Amino acid sequence: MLKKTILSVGLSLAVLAPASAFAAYVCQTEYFPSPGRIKLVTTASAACTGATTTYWICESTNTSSSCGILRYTVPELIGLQTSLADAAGTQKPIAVSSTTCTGSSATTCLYSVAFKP
Amino acid sequence: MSVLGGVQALIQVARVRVRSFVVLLCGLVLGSAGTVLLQTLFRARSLDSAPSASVGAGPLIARASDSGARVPGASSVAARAESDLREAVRARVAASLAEQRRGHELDLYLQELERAARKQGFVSALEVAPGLAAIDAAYPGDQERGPAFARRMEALAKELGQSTQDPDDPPPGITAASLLQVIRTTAAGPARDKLVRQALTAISRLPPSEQESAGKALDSATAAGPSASPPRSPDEVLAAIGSTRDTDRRRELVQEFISAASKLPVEEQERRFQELDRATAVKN
Repeated sequence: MLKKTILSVGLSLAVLAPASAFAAYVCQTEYFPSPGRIKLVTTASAACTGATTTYWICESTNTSSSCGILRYTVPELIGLQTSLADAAGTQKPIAVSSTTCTGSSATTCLYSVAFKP
Repeated sequence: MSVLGGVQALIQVARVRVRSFVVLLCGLVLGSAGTVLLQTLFRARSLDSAPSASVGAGPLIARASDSGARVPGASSVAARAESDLREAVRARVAASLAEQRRGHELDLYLQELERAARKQGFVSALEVAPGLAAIDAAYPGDQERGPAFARRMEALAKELGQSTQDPDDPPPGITAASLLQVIRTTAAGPARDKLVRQALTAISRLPPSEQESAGKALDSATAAGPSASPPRSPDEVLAAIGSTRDTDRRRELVQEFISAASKLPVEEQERRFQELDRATAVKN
């Protein structure tokens, strides 16, 4: 039942994705308050091995050019941080889909995260 | 006589030389082994002796290294360093924070990390995470330096030809549709989970207009089987518990009852669990 729920959430997020998704593993995830944001370091393989990618997932008031066009509320960010921390512990893969960033300097920003079974 | 003496002397010299060569060879072999042993010990020390650190603010912070997952066995230090970098990443982050670099000193440190990655031929979390932590510590409110460093390291990884291939890539030629067919006929378990992950990856690469229907098809494919039936009420499950003698089936039903009862108001849960106690006590 739980697996089904996770899968459904994963699917609904994946369906929203405007760009291709990449399976990754959470190496490090950190929440920063005011303006709220999560720093997410993923690796291509489990246990922090393989190529790394870093994302910033931001609150709506955040003006950083490294934020994606999709923003989150603080409760959403905190919920997401909890799920990402779980994924860091279990090393179950996540699927990260990307989109353009708000600033011109950054090229790829996080759009959604799907938690894979 | 003198000829014989000369030959014996030559043989003696040759024996000494062969012995010296063997001793030299043994020395070289032992020397190399010693170096490897020392390197392994040093590596173990550098991973294990570093203090643990907390990065950023408060209990919301979670690091992969906090999970405590390790490759078991003290003799597998090198294997641990290669197969699970989480502890090593945490140690490097801690060391980086302890230095409290700012300004030019921080720039030099970031360049040093970049050089290290270039020298080893790939970028890993061992270079990226400490660099980001050092930037966060030096400039807590700055939201551009960290991303700039991350982008620089990602560009370097690309330059070094690092692969970012998706581990859940479906096998070549396998489509989302064919994966869905296989999923429908595969029993729940790790094998099906892998197929589902591959299907998710395949679906995410479909045109947006096709993703939604494919997502629904995957949902229905994974819902097939016993778990697809609608949840029963605690009364129905209790009745089923009372009418079965199969131990495994009863255990499943008890779990189903607990799951159903947990959704009830707290005051009703207690009464339901007492009913479960009575139902299972009669059978036992």
